[in-house]
Amino acid sequence: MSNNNLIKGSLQTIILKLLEEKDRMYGYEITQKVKELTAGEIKITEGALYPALHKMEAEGLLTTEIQQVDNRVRKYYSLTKSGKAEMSSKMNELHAFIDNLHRILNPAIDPKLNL
Amino acid sequence: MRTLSLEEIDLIKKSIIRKNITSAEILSEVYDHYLTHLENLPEDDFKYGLNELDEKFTYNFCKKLQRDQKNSNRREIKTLQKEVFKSYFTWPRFAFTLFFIASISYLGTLIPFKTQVILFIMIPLIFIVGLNFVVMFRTRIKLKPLKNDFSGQSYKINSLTSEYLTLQLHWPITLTNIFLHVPRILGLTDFIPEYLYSFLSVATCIFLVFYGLILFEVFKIKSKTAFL
Repeated sequence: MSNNNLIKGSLQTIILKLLEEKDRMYGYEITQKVKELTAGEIKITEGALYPALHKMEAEGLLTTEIQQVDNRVRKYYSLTKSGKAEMSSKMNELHAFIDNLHRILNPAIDPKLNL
Repeated sequence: MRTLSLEEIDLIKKSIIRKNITSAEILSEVYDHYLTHLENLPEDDFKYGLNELDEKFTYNFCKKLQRDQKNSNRREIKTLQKEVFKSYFTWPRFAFTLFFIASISYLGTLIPFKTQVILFIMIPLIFIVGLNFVVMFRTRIKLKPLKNDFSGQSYKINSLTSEYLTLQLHWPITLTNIFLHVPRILGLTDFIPEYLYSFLSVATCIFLVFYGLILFEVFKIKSKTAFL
């Protein structure tokens, strides 16, 4: 399952969804949460995560706040209003894609059936 | 999770210093990532974990992160500036815009030119210079803990947000200097027709006031979340 291309394509959706569930998260926390939720099957690399977070911040989907934690500065990310809207649309897109993928992989399923 | 020893923290800092990261935004994020990851490893795995992180956060990767962050910051501030500017043309702020432009235009017909220069140009410029000092002061305070942590770094640590905002604040000061001094140097003391004096001082005032206010609002928004 740990296909890098599949993860790359859904990284933005994963980040948006995690931030919707938890108000704010920092980079390392996101990598650990994904690892925990997938029992280590999916590992988000730092090389993919940070550029994606910075890109989403520049696009106005995420906002950041810095906070002093245990003698160091921590940067937290949270969803903006447009980030929340983007999350809903990305989730719908992903669900529709998964449904279609099911149909392709199981041609026996009636195309008109609502999965 | 365990507490790292001073020697271990020192090794982490030395390792990060080698990457020559100058952006406070990236430096703090990388440092926090190193510390959090290594705090979750047993003591025996520290060196292995540190090497593993060094392989992920290579010199080139950190430089790329920094470059991208610089571009993102610029884009974000420009977008914020545009949004704030637009807000002056929507209610209820549009009422202020109309009132301000009308008052300045009316005052321009009453006040003599020299007083206009002092009132209409110097006051907004003093506000912009003051804002510049506030930005520099706030940045200095926010960067102090990070600078103390990385005092051994030969490259200066700076906030990318603050750097760009300061650059924006310098523009009107530089332009005013050019406008005041270049004609004198070239001996063009009377190159502006007298009937344009009032119009130019009013137009400059409107530009400077809105420019200063927009930057002040951007500063207010960004200072809540950035090294500013």
